[in-house]
This record gives sequence, C-alpha cells and structure tokens, in this order.
Amino acid sequence: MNRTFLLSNGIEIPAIGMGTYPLNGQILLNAVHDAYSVGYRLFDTADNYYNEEDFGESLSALYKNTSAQRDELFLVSKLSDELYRPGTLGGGFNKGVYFWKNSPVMQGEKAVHKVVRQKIANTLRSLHTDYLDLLLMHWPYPDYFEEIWFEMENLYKEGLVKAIGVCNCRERHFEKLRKNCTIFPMVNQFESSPLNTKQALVDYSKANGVHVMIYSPLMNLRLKTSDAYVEFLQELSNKYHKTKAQIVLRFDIQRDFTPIPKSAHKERLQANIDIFDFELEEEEMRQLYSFNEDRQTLPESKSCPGL
Amino acid sequence: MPRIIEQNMRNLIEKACNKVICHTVWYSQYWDGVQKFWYLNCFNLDVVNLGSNSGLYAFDYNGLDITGMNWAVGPQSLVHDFNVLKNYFSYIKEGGIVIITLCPFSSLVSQYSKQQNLKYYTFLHPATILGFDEVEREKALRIKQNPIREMPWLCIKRTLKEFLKHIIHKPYPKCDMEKSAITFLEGWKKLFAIVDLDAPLSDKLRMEQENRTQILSDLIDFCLERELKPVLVIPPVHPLLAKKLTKKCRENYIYSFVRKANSQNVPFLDFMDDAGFQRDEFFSNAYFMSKKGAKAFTEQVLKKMSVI
Repeated sequence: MNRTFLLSNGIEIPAIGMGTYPLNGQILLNAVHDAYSVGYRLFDTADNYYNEEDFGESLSALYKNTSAQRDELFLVSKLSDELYRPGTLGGGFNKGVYFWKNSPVMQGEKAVHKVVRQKIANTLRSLHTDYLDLLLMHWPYPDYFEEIWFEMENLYKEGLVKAIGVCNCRERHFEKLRKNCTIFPMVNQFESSPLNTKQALVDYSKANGVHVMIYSPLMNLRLKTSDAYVEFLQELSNKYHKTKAQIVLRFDIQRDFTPIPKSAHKERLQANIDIFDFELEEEEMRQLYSFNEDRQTLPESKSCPGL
Repeated sequence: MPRIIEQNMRNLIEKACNKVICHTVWYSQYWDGVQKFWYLNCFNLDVVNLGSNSGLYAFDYNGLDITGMNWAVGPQSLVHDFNVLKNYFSYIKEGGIVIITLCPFSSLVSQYSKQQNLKYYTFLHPATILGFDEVEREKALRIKQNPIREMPWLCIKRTLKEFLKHIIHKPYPKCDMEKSAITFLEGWKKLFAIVDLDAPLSDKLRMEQENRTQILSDLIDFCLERELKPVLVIPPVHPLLAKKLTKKCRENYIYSFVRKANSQNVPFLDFMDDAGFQRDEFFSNAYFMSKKGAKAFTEQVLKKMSVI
C-alpha cells in the first residue's frame, strides 16, 4: 500500500503523521528528530498548542543536523481559539478569546479577517516557513464558521497554504459550507477508532473527496472496553506479531485515513509507523467494525459548544 | 518540623477535608448540583432533561430501563438551559430525546447574582457564560479544587451543622401546601415585578417574553438540526398551586409563549393539572416534586413518549 494519500487538489499527504500536543521544548525537539529519522514526514500542530515556536526550533535543528529539507515535510497547523496554558488554573481548556461572538477581540471591524491573518503570520514565522502544507480550522466555531472558511480560502488562493480543511466537522457543517464556498474542504480531522467508527461521516467524506485524518487514534486503548474487543486485538496482535496500537493504526490506514498518534518515545514512534508490512484481512476489518459503540473519548461539544 | 513535611501534612489534611466536604449536601447545594457535569462520563444518553429547579426535582431516571440524565440546574433560565445543551449535547445519542422543562415563568428574564453565576465557571465553556469575568472564573475553579482552603470557616461550619443534623435526626415537618403555594406565587410576583398575574403583560415583560420566545425557538431548532428530539414539558405542581395559576395567567405567561416559540410543532406535554399527580406524597412542597413523585412522573413522561 502507498504511504501517501492524494487530496482532492492533487497534493500528496503522508499516510501517517506525528501529533505534537502537548510536547514542547527539548522533548519536542528530540521527538521531531526521532520521528524524522524513523520515517515520519507529517507533523501536526496548532496555534493553541503553545508549541509552534518550539516546533519551529525543532525543525531548524532538523534541517541543520540531518539531510531533512522543508519540501519533503508535510506541516499541518490549525486556526483555533486560545487555551488556558497547561499548568495554570483550568489549563488546557478553551478560553473563548477567538472566534466567539461575545469576545472583546471579535468586536472590531473585519475581526475574523484580522485574526486569521495574524494567526497565519504567527504560525509561518514560528515554523520558519513561508507556506503550510495543510491549514485546518480547529473546530467549526459556530459564530464565524463560514467567515473563517472564507478567509482560509483566500490563504489557499494566495499560496500561503497548499491545502485547507476542517476538524471535528459533521455532514451538516459541510453542507453549510457547500452553499457559499468556492473551495470544498480537502481534509476533515476527527477522532475515530474501532469503538467509534463514525461510518456515516466517513462515507460522506469519501463521497465528497474529503480526506480523513484521525487525532488521538490510540486513546481507545486506554479506555475500559469490552473483553471481546481486547481479546480480539490480542488475537490479531499475536497473529501479526504487532502491538495492539499497531493493529488499531493499521485499521485506520486500511480505511484510507491518516492517523496522527503522538509519542515522545523513539521506540513507540518507530512502532507506530511500522505498520506497512502487514494487512488486516477483510473479515478481521469487519470484526473490528463490529465493536463500534459510538463511544466518544473527547466530547466535542465541550470544546466547541454549539458546534 | 522541616518545611516539606509540614507542607505534605497540610496537603494531606486538606485532601481529607475536601473529600468529606465534597460528599456533603450543603456543598452540593452550594454549587446548585452542577457536580454531575464535573464527572460526566456517560455517553450515548437516550434522554436528558433541561430545566431549572422544577425540572431538577421532577425527573429521576434511576431504575428505568433507559440511559437518562437530569441536566436541570436550579435556579436557571432558558438561556443557560440552552448553554448547557450546547456544551453537553455530544453525550446524547443520535436521535436521543431532549426534554425542555418549562416552568410557569420560563418566558421571563430572571437576574443572576454573582454567586448564582459562579457555578457556570466550573462546567461551561467561557464563551457560553453570561457576563464572563476572569476573576470570577479563577475564584470558582479555586473553590472547586480546594474548598477547605478557599472558604475554611464556611466549610467547617456547614459540615459540622450537617453532621449534627444527621446525628440528631429531626424529621422534616410536613409541608403546609397552601402556605407554600402562596410563598412561591408571591416570590415570583416580586422577582418579575408582577402586580396582577391575570393582567396583560407590561411592556417590559412583553419584551422579555419576545426575547425568550426566540431563545426557545432556537433551542428547538438546535435539537432538530442535530437530530435530537425535543419535547416541551411542564411538570405537575401541587393542586393548591395549580388552582392559583388561573387560566388567564397561564395563557399570558405559558401557553401564548409556547405557541409562538414552538412553530416547529414539537410535542408539548402539560402535566400541570394532571389527574395522576394530585396527591401530597408526590410533592415536597407546592412546586417541587418529591422523590416518589419524580420517579412516577419520569416514568409517565417516557411512557407517553413511547420510550419505555
């Protein structure tokens, strides 16, 4: 199987990437180096991870110390609301500063335009690059959903980003955009696993040329789940001499998704990408699908009320 | 004693005290019962109900063959009912039922004190908190995290009082329903500045009602757009209170409001005079249902909706 997928505009996206939240500093620098050395080319960050600058430094170190070049990497970032800084009171939770109607920041004229421009400028400066491979809207912020997308279309047309997409969107969000957009989203990033296959959304995405990226793809392994699921993963794990995490990631790849697991450990980074030398049989895929219970691990509406 | 040991001891004592406090009734009342949202980990809910105090006391899904949750918070306005749903609808399964509990004066605007607003900082996204204030957010989170450190005297006093009450165990006096009905009515009249419940609405109240009409209508649309099934429900009140809410009063404050807001024509179940809920045992006062009443009523609503 190819290690890349094609987006609707012809851009190639790697079949697997590295998630970077909440890594920063030296840990992030080492992780990026290790990830590159074992074959990762896609790195996913966001303007509210508080790590874009550190990630930029990590990339600079990578260019300096290895043969890595910007054009072989696939850099993804997102336009987001701000989070309370990790480690502070309520750290990691949304602040409601950007893209919410009642925020003082959004009261001025052309606020969305100004905020988006400022954010993309910061991101590009922090990542030491003049373009992003993919820019995503982190949440379908209900107050400004279409306006943010309009601004993203312009960034795409100007060549500042090679592809644009959304995160955590459902069919109704796409249909809302379809009414006025000139460019349909190329990517939708959301959470999915055998316990939450979101098949209707996946079918919709495929039918409309939207590539699926999966965040927190291994979170389901941390949940208390049915014995049958755990046993079946173990069975597959024994059969293919792979870990349960590798089986789940392989499940994603065979659904034509790009999962972006996060790890700061070289062995795990290595293991997570070592999934291209085996293939789950059709019956095994079918059985994995059968464990679906629409189980959410990250309730979307808490991060983006009214989405 | 070395400082580090002293600090550890202090942390340990605080932790133990907080554990006790978090299990007290007064602490739950301090937060108006919003702790259910702090630890929410139940997905794919079949049914939830929103609402203020009347909803809080009217629904109890325990023992029913259904996954339901009472999301009412008292006191609360329709605006925050909507905000609670906006924040938590991901927990409801596709096609799940949202009971929108209405009370006699849901159509009017009630004012919040800072203390009443404090609870929202502990479980709602900042963008959905009315009059968001960063200082209040920090205050709320600090109290939530460590009540004994933030309000030691209140914690000690109220916990001791509750403990003593538990030991002495005086049975609650039987509620005088007539008196209770009058108290509620007079309270509402004062809260909303109403002189005569049967008189047409003042300009101010009419404007408030128009605003609330829009909110209820948006709330219904919100559910329908997300393939949730909204149902408007007015829980039973004690017959002595029901009698005081005249036909004219109900038309002014409830029925005209529901008619205007519910252009989508979702089910509207009015139990205010329901013959099945006339007995005193179903009520803890003229307005709030008792545990027994809530269980019977919840079953009745769900049966009416053919859910069980």
